[in-house]
Amino acid sequence: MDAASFQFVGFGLVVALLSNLSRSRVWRSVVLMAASLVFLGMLAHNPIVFLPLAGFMLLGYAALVLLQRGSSRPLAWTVVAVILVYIWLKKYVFLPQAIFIHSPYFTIGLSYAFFRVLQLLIESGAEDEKQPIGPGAYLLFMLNFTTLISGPIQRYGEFARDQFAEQPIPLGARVIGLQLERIVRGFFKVNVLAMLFDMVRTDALAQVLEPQPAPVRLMAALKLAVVYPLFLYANFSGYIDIVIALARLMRVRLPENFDRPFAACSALDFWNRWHMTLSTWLKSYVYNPLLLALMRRIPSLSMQPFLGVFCFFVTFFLIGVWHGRTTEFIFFGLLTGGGMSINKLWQLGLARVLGRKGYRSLAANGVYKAFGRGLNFAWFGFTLLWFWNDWKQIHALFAALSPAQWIGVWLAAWLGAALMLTAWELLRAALLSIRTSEGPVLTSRYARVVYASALGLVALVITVLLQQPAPGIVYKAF
Amino acid sequence: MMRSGACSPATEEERPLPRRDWILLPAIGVVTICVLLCGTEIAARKVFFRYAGSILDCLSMDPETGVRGLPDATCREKAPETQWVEYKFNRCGDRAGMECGPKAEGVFRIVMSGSSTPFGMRVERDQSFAALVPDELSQEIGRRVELYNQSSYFYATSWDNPRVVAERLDRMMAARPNLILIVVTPLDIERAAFGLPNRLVFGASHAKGWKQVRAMLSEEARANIEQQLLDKSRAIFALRHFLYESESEFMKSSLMRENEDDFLKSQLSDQWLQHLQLFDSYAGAIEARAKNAGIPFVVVLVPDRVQATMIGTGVWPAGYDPYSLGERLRSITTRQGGTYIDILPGFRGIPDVWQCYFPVDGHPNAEGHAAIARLIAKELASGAVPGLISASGQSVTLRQER
Repeated sequence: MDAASFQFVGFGLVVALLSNLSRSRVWRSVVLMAASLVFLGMLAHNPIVFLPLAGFMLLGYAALVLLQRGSSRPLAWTVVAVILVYIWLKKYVFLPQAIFIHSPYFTIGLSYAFFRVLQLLIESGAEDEKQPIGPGAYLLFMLNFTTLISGPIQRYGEFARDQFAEQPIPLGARVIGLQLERIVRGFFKVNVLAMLFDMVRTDALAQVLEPQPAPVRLMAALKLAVVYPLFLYANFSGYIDIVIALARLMRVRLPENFDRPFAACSALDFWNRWHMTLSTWLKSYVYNPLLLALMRRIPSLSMQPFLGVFCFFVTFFLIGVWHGRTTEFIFFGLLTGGGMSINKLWQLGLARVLGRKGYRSLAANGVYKAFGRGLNFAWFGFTLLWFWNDWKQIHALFAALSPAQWIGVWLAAWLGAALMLTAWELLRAALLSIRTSEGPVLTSRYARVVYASALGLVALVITVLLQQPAPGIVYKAF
Repeated sequence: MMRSGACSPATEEERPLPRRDWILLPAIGVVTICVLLCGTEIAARKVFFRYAGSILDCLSMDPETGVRGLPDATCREKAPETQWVEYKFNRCGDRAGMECGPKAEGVFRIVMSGSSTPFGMRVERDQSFAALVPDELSQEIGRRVELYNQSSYFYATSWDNPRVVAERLDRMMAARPNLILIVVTPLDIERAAFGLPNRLVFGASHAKGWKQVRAMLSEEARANIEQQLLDKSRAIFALRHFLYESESEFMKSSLMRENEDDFLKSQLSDQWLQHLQLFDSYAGAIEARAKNAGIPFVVVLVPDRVQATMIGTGVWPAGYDPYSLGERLRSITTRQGGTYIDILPGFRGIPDVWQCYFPVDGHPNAEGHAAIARLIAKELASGAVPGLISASGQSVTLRQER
């Protein structure tokens, strides 16, 4: 069963229906566990392939029990052990090949299990979190089919609050309607929008690499520069829409993962809106502790802003590295971390030159925001070249055009994105300003029914009648 | 405990729906779908206008003798992806661009037989490779060449039907050619036994009993629905046209359809081997007649869009081989005493080769016909065809003398 397919949505809806047959938390947990096991069974038929994942989860639970019973002293060791086992299971290329398990095994969801395990271990050491977690609850949290494959990264406390609540959160007709609309929207994003963006990308890639006239290759390169961020957004956020809605129908609230990321006017703002659960997790468990530790060691006030810059670099370098096990992802991490650091330094520099008030005034300026938005989009698209290509292809891409042509392409991407995204923001604001007493017309349930029906019809025609295959969920691989 | 954020949407969401909404919301959904369906269908019918009535009035479709044009008939057709196209038939019912009858003195006559692609379906006669090959070839060999096209609008294979085959061969011989050119496409081979119910031809499936029935039912049902929708809904046609203009989407979609393009697999299925057996018998029948008359016969495979794209891009999935069918045809043709000319490698050098075909219809467009004409002429003049070697050699001498 493919994630975000008709089968997946149908499966999720059936599970939600069964889950709501009783409000008892035991019943809901039994249904979720059974569904998650069935889901795993549908992903791979041979149980042996799950052994490494099961072993990883077992290690996590053993470490958790150890921490829950004793002091927080072994915390650092257990965290290091979990990280090392994770790196080993993911087969990072900088490790010797000989130490890996060579028979095929299942790693889908391992990265997300890694975050959940680490969060449990770290939180179990915190003074205010002493609630013991039983094996059933642990397994349910780890295997929950709505978050297993590609997140969102939910914290245990949030999961337990809804899943094990004596009185589950309400589920009225309005909520059901909103979730169904969100499922349709997500399904459309994954199966239609992402498919179309991927189509443009694949054709553009072929055109750039083939002996075509220069204007054709330049246009194709421009398409490549701008289309992958859009594809990735449609692909990933569409899937997240589906699972958040399915979980809500099962009376569990998953955290949001996207907040209109391309509206961001800077890289710093962007990562508050893109894969939010990942960046929030890393800020909580890497950025903040690292910054605190550095500030303790280097108490100089004048150095503090630069310590922050360094911590940004480390955090977002790790985000890049987490995405994949090859050197391309290390480079992606360097670019992402570097971009964040430069953005932070730019902010600090401008604030120093213009003063805080002057900087705030500049940051609120519409033209400055438009250029910032475009630059962020183009930069993200540039860094993603190392996300979806291998070195061989990256080399071929850069060799296909001259450096001057590439600079022209990225400048065009920047300016084009600035123009288009700002136009979109203005249009959106204008449309949302049309209001009734209940709020904007476009977000009313009547408008939602209109576009859910339209998007649903188009998605149905393309997926069922034309059987046009959509690319799989990219983040499934991480 | 916090509920769900600061703007208290939970409270708003928990309010029951007004009673009217239980009627109104579904009604809005239905109206939206109806408006969308009707609107896109009307728009698509404007853009992808089709008028095919008259061409059918110009054809004689006799299952015993095959499909032919009516003598001296002229019809026009507008397919959704094409401009208006005129089909003009001579008094023998052929879209030959010339009258049937004896060839002029000193002319090297090729009689071409095949189905819709060599017929020039969807393109004007002067854009078809039937019209372009003589000029290209004349330039190559320096001698006047004419091509009499006996291809038919629909699949004309029926290689299993002795009467149809005999009739076709009679007509070829009657044209007194110097060379017989048999143009086949993958679809011709797949429909080798056109006219027979599908189950007789495709009965060699591995599935047995209920599974076989179910497979046939589901496959046929799907194909029927799809065909009906393609025929009836121009909006779906337009959507397909848009998607299939993309090389990547077209290839993905084509390769995931089971049984379609099976001929591209490295290991041909039993069905395809059966189809090739029919072609073998057809080639044998041609050889028997051509040998008596001392006329060489040449077979050429014109690839479909998927095959041409694989060759053009040089990329195909594991387990596929776009050259495999050509090699099998070469083997059959050579064994039967004919000559196989291979134009497939020539498609490697054509940029954006998938644009040489109509995206949904699948026939070559004018650009595709021009490319095919160049490749056929080049291969015919390369010395592969014994009958042309002397002509070619002679022409070189003549040119040098001038």
